[in-house]
Amino acid sequence: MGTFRDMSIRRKLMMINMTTSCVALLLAAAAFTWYEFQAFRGSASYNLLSLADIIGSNSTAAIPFNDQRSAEETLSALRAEGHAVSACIYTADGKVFATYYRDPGKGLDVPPFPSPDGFGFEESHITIFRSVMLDGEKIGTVYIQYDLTELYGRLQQYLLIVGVVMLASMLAAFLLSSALQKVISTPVRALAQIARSVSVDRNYSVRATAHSKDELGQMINGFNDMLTQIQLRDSALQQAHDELERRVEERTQSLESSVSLLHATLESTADGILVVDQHNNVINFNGKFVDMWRIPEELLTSRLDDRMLQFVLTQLADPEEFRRRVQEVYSNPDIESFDVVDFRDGRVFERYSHPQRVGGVSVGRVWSFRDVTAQHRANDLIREQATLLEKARDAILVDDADGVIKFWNKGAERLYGWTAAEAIGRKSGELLHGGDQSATAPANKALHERSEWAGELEQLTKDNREILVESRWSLVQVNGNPKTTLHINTDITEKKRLEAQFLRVQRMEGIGTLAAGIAHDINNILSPIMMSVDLLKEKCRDPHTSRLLGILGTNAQRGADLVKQVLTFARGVEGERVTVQLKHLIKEIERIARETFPRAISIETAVARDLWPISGDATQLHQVLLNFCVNARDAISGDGTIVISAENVMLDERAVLENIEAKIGSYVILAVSDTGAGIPKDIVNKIFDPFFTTKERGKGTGLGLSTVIAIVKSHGGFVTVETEIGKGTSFRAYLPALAITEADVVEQQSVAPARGNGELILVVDDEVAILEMTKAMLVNAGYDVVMAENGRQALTIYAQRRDSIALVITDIMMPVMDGPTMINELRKMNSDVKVIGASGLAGNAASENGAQSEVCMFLPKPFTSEKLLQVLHVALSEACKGCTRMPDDPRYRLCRSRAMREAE
Amino acid sequence: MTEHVQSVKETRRARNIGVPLALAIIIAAAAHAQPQPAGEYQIKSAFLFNFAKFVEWPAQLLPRGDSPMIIGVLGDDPFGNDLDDVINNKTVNGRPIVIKRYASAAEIQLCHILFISTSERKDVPMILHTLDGTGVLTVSEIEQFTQLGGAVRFYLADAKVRFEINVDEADREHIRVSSKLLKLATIIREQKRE
Repeated sequence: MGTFRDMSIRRKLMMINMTTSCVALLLAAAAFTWYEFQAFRGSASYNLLSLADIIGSNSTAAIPFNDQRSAEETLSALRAEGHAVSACIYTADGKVFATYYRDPGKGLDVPPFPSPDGFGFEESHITIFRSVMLDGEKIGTVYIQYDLTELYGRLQQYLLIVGVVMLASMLAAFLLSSALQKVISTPVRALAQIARSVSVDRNYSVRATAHSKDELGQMINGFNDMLTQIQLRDSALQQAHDELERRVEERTQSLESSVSLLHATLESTADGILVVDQHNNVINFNGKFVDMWRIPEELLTSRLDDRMLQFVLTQLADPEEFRRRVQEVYSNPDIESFDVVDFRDGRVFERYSHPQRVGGVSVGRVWSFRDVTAQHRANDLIREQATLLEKARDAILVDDADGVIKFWNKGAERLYGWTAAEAIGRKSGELLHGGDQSATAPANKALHERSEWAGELEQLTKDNREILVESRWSLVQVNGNPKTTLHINTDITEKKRLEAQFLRVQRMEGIGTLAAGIAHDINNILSPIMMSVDLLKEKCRDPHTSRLLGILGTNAQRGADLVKQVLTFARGVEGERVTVQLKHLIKEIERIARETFPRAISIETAVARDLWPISGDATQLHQVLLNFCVNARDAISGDGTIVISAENVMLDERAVLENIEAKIGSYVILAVSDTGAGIPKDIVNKIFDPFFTTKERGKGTGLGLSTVIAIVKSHGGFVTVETEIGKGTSFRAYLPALAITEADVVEQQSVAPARGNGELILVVDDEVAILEMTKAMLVNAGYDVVMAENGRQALTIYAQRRDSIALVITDIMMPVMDGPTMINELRKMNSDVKVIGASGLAGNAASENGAQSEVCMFLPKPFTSEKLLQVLHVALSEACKGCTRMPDDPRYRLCRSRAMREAE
Repeated sequence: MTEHVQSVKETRRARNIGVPLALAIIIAAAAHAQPQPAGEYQIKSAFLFNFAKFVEWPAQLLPRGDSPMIIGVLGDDPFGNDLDDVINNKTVNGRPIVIKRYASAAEIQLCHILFISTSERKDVPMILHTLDGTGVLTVSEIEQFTQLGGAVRFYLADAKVRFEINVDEADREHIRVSSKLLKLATIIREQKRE
């Protein structure tokens, strides 16, 4: 094709013409030939079909009547049709019935079996199979082979004629096209000539001549126009070029100016600046950079970037991180970066970098370094100070001229409950004083006059609790604004409360001493009066005088009673100390209250199930409880409820801090709450004072609560009161629980029915039934048991097996040798022997019997299995070791108290 | 390629697929249809049947399109089962074929082709006389049958069954015999005899 493309236009035109006409002719000839062939073959087929049908029809009788001769006669009619080469008739069962050959002996045998109806086209023959039908029944088949030699002869002839006609046509086409192509090729060649001369000589003034108005003519005119335009464009281009030269000159000047500006900027900035290209080679830097990094002169002039980097890295606190960060930035050419670089010598640089982009493509990066060492040091200092502020116990807050809180330290969070986030932005007056401006007015005035103030303030916490703070205010100069105020508040609520409590106690003691003195004197005065009255009564027989003496005696007695009561609270109360279960007491009071109080008041009790026992005087405690209840009743006007409750409590250090009378340890709280009027705030501190009463004159002595205080105090406890106007009042008496330590509580909870571990127990009792029963209980619980029926027998057994017997359980009252005698004998053998005494007598009776001092523990009869095992477990424990020998040993008391508690 | 070859190829392919089946069918067919050289009367039975296809009777003898074609045998029946086997419910131009056997000519009422057995040799003139004008195509193998006025006579030539036709008798009975049949037959004319 290359050669075709390079041909002259004349040859191309010739070529196109000739190719077109030849292809057209060839296609026509081929189509005609093909049609001729198909037509001939079609007519041959049709002829053949007719022949087959005729022969078949003429053989319809010959076949069924098996007349071969007649059939062959029919076939021989084909001889007239010279093209049938061979033919035959088959019978219905496919046997050759009659045959025909045009040229007998020439080999072309007919097929031995008929095929289905149809034509067969072979190289030089057509064949046909055609059924012979008689009365709708196939009785045989006709076969004819037809010669096509003639067809091919005719086709050859036809092709020859076509060839000749084509050659002649092509010759004519060649001659015609070579004459006609000149019409197009001549002007084109002329135009090409002119174009060549224009391009060679650069002469745009020549013009081609158009001879026609067809496309060629238009093309030549267009070419001429183009030349004209080029001429014009050429001169315009020259002008533009001159203009460009001038502009380049201008730009160069401006560029020089901006480069110098850039340089000046670089050198004048406070930051160190380094510029690298996209391959990270150093392109530019300013003097500040060199100064900041302290890069020596020879390193600068060497221009070795690696050495420079190494030098830089040696100064850093963490060179690896620096290097990693640089790598990261270089691998992401489009990002901006900012980080902080720490130096070994403590300097701190901020490092920024920004990609240098040209047309949206990064071609380098500008690094700038800012020395922020001073700033960092200042920040560290501020942070340190802030930390100190946060650590301060005092609440420290800062507010501005409008009272809006600007700073709120951890101490303030702790004291007031608001977090810094909650407090900052709110007004301090509203937050801490509930908007009451009068509270802080004197402080503000002082601040205004002297720039500082110190004093006490009542403030509110988040949970609306009133607290008392010692506050110091001072004006602070921050950013030249003198209205910023620093507040430092110390919580003195607790201190003040304890102070008040202490004062009250002191006052009470004072009053007590005074009252005791007076009471003593009055007693001394009353004693002779009362004795005299008695004497006078005996002597006087005058009924009127007797009556007067009676009045005198009664009133003297009342005075004596009063004095006795005063002495009760003043000197403290002496009473017996026995183990008291408060639940019984509460039940008794509940019964009295129900019977005597108005029906409108309902009485409820709430007693903890495992309430610890206390050691005290039941009568006095009865008085305490009754006093509380009477006060509660008087506080209720109309309907109301009184709740009497008792619960266990462990007081810890914090509780002790809140109340000077409290001690660490276990207490039972005996409380009476009412839904009455409540006690006004201004008198709540006085209610325990002697002779203070709110009741009508003559109705109360004013000694009720002070007596209560005296009783509780004598029990080692204290009283608290909680009251709210309109809601009610709760009095709580804290009574020390009976020698309960925390460890005991845990033990009691976890080691309920303790089991034995094969320890050998000697059981002594004169009643065989009890002996057997006790043995069964112990064996069942994992102990080994030996038994004795009296003291003497027991001593014999103990003497034999003293090393293996862990403990002796003995009856106290026995014939032959009683318990105490036996125990004394045992102690002679082994002073450390552990003995549990069992007796049907109550504790006191047993004690009087002298047995209690001798035994480790006491087990009242009758006992349950559980009680037996509990007492046994305690007695076997380490705490009871040698307990009877040293009655002063604290372990002895502990052990005893346990035993007594469990015996209850 | 020729269409023959193509079809053969296809057949071969089919055979390749089912050679055992095809073999079984061929063996069965061979066992069933033994060449058993066709007996003389078997051929003659076929000829009797085929005559019906090449002969036209007067319309009154076959009044309807489906009127049965009756082939009768008079006298001793030489065919045995052959005739019944050949006919075997076949039809001619849609007509059923009924075979009737007669002991005497008097029994004949309607008959299209009547084969007169050699046992009736002596009575032939009388029988033919009785059947004159009834349109019956009489057939027999008795010598001189056509000369006696019968229509068709079978004879053997070169061990093959051939037949002669008395065209005058056929004309007399208004029976049209197809030229195709005549081409196969030996033509007998009564004038020649006289």
